[in-house]
Amino acid sequence: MVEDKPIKFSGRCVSVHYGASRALHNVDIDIPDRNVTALIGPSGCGKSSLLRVFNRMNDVISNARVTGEVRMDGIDIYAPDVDPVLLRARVGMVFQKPAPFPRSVYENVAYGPRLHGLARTKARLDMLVERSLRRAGLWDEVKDRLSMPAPGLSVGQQQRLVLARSLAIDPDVILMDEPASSLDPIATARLEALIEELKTRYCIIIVTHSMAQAARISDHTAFLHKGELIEFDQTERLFTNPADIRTQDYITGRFG
Amino acid sequence: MTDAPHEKASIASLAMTRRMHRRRAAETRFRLYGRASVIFSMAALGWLLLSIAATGLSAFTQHWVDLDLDVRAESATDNDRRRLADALAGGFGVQADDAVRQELLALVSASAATDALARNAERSGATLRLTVPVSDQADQYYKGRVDASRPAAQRRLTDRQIAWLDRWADEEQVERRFNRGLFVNPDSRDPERAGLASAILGSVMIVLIAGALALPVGIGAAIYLDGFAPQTGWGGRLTRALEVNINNLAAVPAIVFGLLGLAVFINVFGLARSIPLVGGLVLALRMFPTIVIASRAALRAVPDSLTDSALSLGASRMQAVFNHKVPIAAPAMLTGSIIGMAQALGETAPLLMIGMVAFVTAVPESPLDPATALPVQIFLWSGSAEAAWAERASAAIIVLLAVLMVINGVAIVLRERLQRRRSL
Amino acid sequence: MIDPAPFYMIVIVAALMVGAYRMVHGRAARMVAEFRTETTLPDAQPRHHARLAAALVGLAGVAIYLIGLAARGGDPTLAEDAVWLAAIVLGPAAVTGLCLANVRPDFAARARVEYMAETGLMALALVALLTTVGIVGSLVFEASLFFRNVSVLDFLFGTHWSPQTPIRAGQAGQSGAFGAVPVFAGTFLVTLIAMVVAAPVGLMVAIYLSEYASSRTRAVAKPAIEVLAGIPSVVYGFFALISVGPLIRDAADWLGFGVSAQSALAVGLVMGVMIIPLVSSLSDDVIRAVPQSLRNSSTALGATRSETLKRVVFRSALPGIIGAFLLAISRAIGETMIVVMAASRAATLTGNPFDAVTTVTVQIVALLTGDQVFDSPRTLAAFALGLVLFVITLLLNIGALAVVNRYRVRFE
Repeated sequence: MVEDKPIKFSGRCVSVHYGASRALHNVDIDIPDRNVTALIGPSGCGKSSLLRVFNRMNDVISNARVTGEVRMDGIDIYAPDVDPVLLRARVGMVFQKPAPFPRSVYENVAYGPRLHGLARTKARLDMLVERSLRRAGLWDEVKDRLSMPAPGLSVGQQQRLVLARSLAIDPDVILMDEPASSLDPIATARLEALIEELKTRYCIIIVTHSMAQAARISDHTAFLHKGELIEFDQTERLFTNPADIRTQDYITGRFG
Repeated sequence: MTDAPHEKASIASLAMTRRMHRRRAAETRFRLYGRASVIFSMAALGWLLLSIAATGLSAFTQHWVDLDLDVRAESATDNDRRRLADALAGGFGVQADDAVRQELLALVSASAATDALARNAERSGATLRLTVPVSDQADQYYKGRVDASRPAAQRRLTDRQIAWLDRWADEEQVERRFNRGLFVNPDSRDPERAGLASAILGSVMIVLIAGALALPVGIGAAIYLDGFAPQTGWGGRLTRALEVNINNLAAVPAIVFGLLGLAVFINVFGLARSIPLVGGLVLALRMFPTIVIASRAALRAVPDSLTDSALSLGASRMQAVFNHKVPIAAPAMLTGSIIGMAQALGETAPLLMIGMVAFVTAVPESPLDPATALPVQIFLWSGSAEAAWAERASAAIIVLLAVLMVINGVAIVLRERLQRRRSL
Repeated sequence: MIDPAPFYMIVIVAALMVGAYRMVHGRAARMVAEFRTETTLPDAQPRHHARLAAALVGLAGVAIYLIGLAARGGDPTLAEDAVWLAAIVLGPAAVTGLCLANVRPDFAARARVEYMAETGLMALALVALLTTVGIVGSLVFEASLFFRNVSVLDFLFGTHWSPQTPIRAGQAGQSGAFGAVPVFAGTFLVTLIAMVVAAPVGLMVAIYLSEYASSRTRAVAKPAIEVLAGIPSVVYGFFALISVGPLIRDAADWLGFGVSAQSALAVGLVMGVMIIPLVSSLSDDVIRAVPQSLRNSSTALGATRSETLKRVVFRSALPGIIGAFLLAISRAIGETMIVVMAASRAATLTGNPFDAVTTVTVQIVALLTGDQVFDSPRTLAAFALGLVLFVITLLLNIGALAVVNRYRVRFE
């Protein structure tokens, strides 16, 4: 079902529990690199839990438990010798609501490189900030106001700023958790265009509520339902010719 | 192709991994600072409680001595102290001179013994059997706080006195009893007879007066600010000024309220110093902002939807607030108020300002009689050098802390109870 | 014993109120029965009329009693005076009659009762204002008397404080030097030491308990910190006096240098411990107010927990934390019992934490306890110090509130 692109993540029997409740059950999935993979499904289907498996954000939740095997480029990211902090340096994440730190635009973007010691000189840091802002399509709008407080930007700009913040640590993967849900249609369109551009460099996994959005921007789509991966296929095929009746029902709007 | 070669590949560059060691070390250090801070705080608390328990618990018992006094021979003199000393000398079979008398009188609570002698004056002519507390020095000795091996110049008891005390102990004349006097006696110049009765009663009066004034006024003010105060225009400005004012008042040092009480209640209104009424008034003012703030927080926690739905059914603002909001906020308001009263019970500085540091040897009968208060009594006793006073001050602290614990416990239990009932 | 006269008055007025309530209620009930409910306003139910009457009667009774007291110069034996007794009974009776006459179905009694109640509640809220006016008024008044004898500049900038010694022998009533700089310096030193202890420890306690501690640790440590907060300051004072001060002195002796048992260090340390709970609970509030989304973003960027705390949470909560520190400083400056019990009364100008120093609050207590004539420069000096204390703590509180409010606006 998956063609020539190399595999970035491969998950085997991945389950996620929060306390006693099971959010994800025995998911097997192979996510191709330099590609956009969309995770869709009704609320509570486990798509966000699956997303958080890839950068071990579930570790932060005190009663969360992840079982199974997840490999990134063949390395088991849940192995005991893997530091989740370093994993997250390679797997960036953009959340539903942009949360810029209450500091300047520049400081927001420079945050990651400073943490990981990516820039030895000020000039290099400036370069990194500029490059990240350019890739996030924000440079032209903020280049004259790098020292202004980031929370003063519009929500659309904020969302691109946090994207730039993730890009600044030079990740391989960008996870997006419903990144457009707090944006207006114009800002959404800009973000989608940006994702289209970024997928030439990065492996992008996006959780979305909107089937239309998944259909527009993704190359592969996974449909989850009640914690199980029902179907994973090329987007075109999944939307035109779903193999499972539940997928069919969901994309035709019969539930969800 | 899903399985990449199974070698030990690293997830990050060597530089980053190396840097990570330092970052993890910083993480561990930070965590350690946190743990150290918690341990420091708890150790400080532990040390405080232990040091007070170590000095104070022994004050809840006291040593009493049974004396068979042969007062016949000495009945010629009407000086009770001298009669007592001579009788004691007779008991030990020593010749009484002035120095001996002095040392003998320092063994028992001389004032208690002479009082007993005077009470039994008409029965003189026989052997008198008295049971009196030993002196504070002797009590400390029996409690093991006097090191007899140290040179005599470094202790208050002479070798001779220690020998006498040992003899009493050997002949089983000494008994360790519960120190009832600590609770029923007023203050005294003699530590072995000093008690907390006046202080406890004074504190009760002060807190009751303060509570009776501050609770209704504070809760009423909170209800006004929450439900009725204008929010817009000039009235709104006044409301906000009032709120800022109350917040500031809560943070004004306690001693300033004492100065206010001294200047207004004593100098302007001419009320007497050292009386619980003034103490109550001052602490009422001190408690007031605390109670307003606690009650406002309780009222604010009640959802507006409740009063809104009452208003939409045609209730007046007054009815909506008093029938729907106040009852729900009541448990929290009550708890806040009780905790405010507990704070007032421990308050000392303002009472010093209004002269409640007087030496009061009578138990007050009304809020207009001079009295002292429990925390003030602690302050007064702690100022004296003798070990027996420190012991009593510690005991008073134990009493104060126990009362505070009970009050706070009651507040918490009450809140839980009332809240549970409401949720049913 | 207390004079019983005021209690008689209370009983009389209460009885009149009950009487008025019953009479008006009865009449209004008959009226309602007569007119049928439809024609009676919902605002004019019998209980509303009756409450209005009782409230008015009570007011009238109390007013007449107070007028009487004022006219008699506060003589409490008023109850024995037949004229006033008659006035207190007849006045309210007249009011009752007026109310009875007003029992009509279209008379909105409830609105009037509620207006009165609301005014009453407002009066209660104004007690706060009255207290502040009282504090400011008395401090300013007494301090101004003091500044007639001692110039403000000498007081604020003089470096010699010794109010107990007369300037010249035999000069009755006059007393010594009132240069408060050593007193302020001592206060500053003790506060500084207290904050050096309380600020980092309180902050780290808040962080550790909310971010790191296991629930078991929390279950032990949180109540312990609350106990620490609930202990009266006189107990801390005693602790400093009998345990900490001597311990530091003995430790210094052992190390070979002499330190007073009343050292600023001992006092400051104990005060710091006392303030830890204040700092930690205020910091806890502001740290909790930092949105979780900021922490998640930082974690997702590969920050460790302490990095997130230091670089994001602290920075975001900084205004609130500063506000908490300002309030803690204000508390330390105004704290009285610890210093009165464990610090020195002699004013020495020193920056050495091992020396004994005095503070503003110690001097206020020293000047006002003991048998002294009021209005002597010594007692008045206490009010001048009190005024300084009030102004400084007020500025700190206002500053803290302003910082915290600005911080709130940013996250809402």
